[in-house]
Amino acid sequence: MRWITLFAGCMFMLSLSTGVAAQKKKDSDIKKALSELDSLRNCYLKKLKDLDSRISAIEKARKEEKEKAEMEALLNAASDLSRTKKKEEATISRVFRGGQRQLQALNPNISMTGDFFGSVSSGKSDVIVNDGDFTDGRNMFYMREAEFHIIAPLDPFTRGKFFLGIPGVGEYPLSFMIGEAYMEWLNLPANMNLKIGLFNTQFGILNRWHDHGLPQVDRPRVLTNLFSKNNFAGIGVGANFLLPRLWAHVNELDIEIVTGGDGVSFDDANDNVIFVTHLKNYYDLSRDAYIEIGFSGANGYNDKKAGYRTTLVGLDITYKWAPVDRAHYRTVEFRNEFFYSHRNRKDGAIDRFGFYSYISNKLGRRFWIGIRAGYSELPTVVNKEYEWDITPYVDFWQSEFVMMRFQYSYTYRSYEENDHTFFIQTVWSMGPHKHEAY
Amino acid sequence: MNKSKLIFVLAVVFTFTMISAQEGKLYVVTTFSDYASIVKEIGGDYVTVDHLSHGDQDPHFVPPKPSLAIKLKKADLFITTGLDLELWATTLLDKARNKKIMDGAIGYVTVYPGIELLQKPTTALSRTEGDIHVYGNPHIHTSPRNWIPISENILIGLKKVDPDHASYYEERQKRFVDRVYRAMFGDELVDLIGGQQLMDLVKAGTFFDFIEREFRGEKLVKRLGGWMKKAMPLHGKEVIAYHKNWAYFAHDFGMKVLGYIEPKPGIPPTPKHVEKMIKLIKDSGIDVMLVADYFEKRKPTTIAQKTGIMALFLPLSVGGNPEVSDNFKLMDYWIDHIVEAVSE
Repeated sequence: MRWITLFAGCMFMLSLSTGVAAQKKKDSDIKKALSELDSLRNCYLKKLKDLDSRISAIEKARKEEKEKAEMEALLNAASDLSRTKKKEEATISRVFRGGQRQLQALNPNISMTGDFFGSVSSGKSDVIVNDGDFTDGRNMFYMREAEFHIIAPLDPFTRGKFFLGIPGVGEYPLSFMIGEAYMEWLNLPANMNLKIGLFNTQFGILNRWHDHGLPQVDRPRVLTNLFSKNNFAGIGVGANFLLPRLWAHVNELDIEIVTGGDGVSFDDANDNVIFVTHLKNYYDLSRDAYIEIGFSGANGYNDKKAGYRTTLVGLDITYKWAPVDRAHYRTVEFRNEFFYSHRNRKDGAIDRFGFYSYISNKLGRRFWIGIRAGYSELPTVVNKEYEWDITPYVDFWQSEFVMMRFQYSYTYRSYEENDHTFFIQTVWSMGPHKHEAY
Repeated sequence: MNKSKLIFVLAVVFTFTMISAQEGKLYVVTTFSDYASIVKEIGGDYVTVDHLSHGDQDPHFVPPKPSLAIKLKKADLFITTGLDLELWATTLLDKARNKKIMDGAIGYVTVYPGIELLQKPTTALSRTEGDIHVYGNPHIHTSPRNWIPISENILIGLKKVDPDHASYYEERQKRFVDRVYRAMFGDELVDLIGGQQLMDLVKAGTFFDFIEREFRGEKLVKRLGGWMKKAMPLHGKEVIAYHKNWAYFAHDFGMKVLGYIEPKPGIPPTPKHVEKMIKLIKDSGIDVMLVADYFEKRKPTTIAQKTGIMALFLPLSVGGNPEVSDNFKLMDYWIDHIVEAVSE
């Protein structure tokens, strides 16, 4: 019994301890589970928190981006609007002004040229006073010209040109003089340009040029002896034809009919009809050089009442070298004109000859030097009187618009005393100008 | 048949042969070789092109010789800048006896419309400023950006006188424009942003800021090609020029022209002004002088000897030397030589 009691007691104790152990284990498991739960809970709470904060951050960034985009759009709109002009509202405060009185934009191109020189001459004034004399030997300053150039298209078909001069001291003191006044039709049939009005005729080359544009201070003696100190001009019609290419690279023909002559070769009677023609033959020798050969003719009365006519014939030869890539600094121009005058008169005709020749050499952007020689038999004088001159000169171009020239002329005359003349000339231009010389 | 009749008949046959040879092709005459180069790009097989001024000639002073008027006489289309650079062109037009190409006629084209002109005079519009250009700087061909509106205006002219080939000219003009974009910026950036947009940025002066932006992890400048990439060393570079020929080129490539050897346009440099320029060059550390090669070499060379500046004599126009046979080669020539000078 004792063993059974002991056994039962042991069993009881054993079961008791087992039960307690089991309970302990159970408790431990529960604790562990609880702990793990806690841990999990904390972990997920943390994750939730993280997620929350990330979501907040994203939302914040999105919001900022949206705001930024809105700002950008706003600024772009502002920028666009700042370029757009708001349409003006019409209110009673508007003041009306008409444009009929303010059409200056349609004014022609107006430019002005001044031509001034001073001369000192050894000649005596009571000796050298002839038609055609450039200087009568007095030593003084001359405002030879203050010339307006007024040029404009008149319509799509025509151009108008006025050259109005105010000659200086001389026989027309400070009076207004029309140098040229003509209009020109362009692109007429037969490759013709046609001008009408008062113009310098295309007899030779230099006759067309205005005084301020001459290559020397004065016109060559042969021209002033033929046409007096003015150009050979007239009122009439002039046609310029661009001919088909004949023997030259360019052939151009001028045919002009004018009335009223220069008073020397041609009677200046208003009804003296004078015919003038010029044939130009132009050759490009290379891209840097050309030669031009021209033939001129003119015929009209030298004495309208008596019915005597003069015929003039001219030959012009020009060679120019201007290297295309150095034209600012180097140019050589060699120009010659030869004239023959056949003047009918009561006691037989007078045949006379004359020429000039000059060479100008550009030495740099501002300087030219040149020399001219000329010979002229007096065309209206029965005795064969003549003169010749040698004229060196130096040009200084301050700019394209202001030029100074220093020139010396020695003139030998068979009929009067010779003279030495020094010139200092200044020419200046104001306003727009066309490039016409080549 | 006697001799004179035979000569007459031969002359007539020859004339008609010449006419037939040109039949079907427009004869286009431009003032400058740069415009002629663009006409060739657009006109292709349907044009014959000639130009009045030589590539090594001062564009301001082209003598209006009769032989140039003869070229215009035969022209179907005349192309000029249209500002006050080619004053000599009006003399030639008046002599040419060709109604089709007179101002406003169907065969007359000015290439400046659509170009924003630089250096427009405002208050000082008089000859105290020298040989001033009243509308603004007319040397527009020196910017590749300007080739676009120039080509557009040329296209309009071609379409007007030769409407039968309009679509051909349009296609070629588009190709030309695309070629300009790609030559300017390189293929990658043009494909990404668009050529016109990039040109607008250059026009606004904000191109170099723009390409500093990042896109997909790298700066846009890494995608830059063409002349803009080659000319990066010129960006911000200060230079001297002889005349105001380079304004548009300098603007596009970010250069600054600090002074000119001419005291005023068209006024030859005086000794006093040359001294002033020498001082400016030394004080500012300028190392390149740009001179169109039709100007003198003496004064730029003197300045170079006294300051160490490099005087670059460059052809201003296509054909100015044998290497520059079109606008693209001209731009390559300028950029290569200027960058090389700057790098030295």
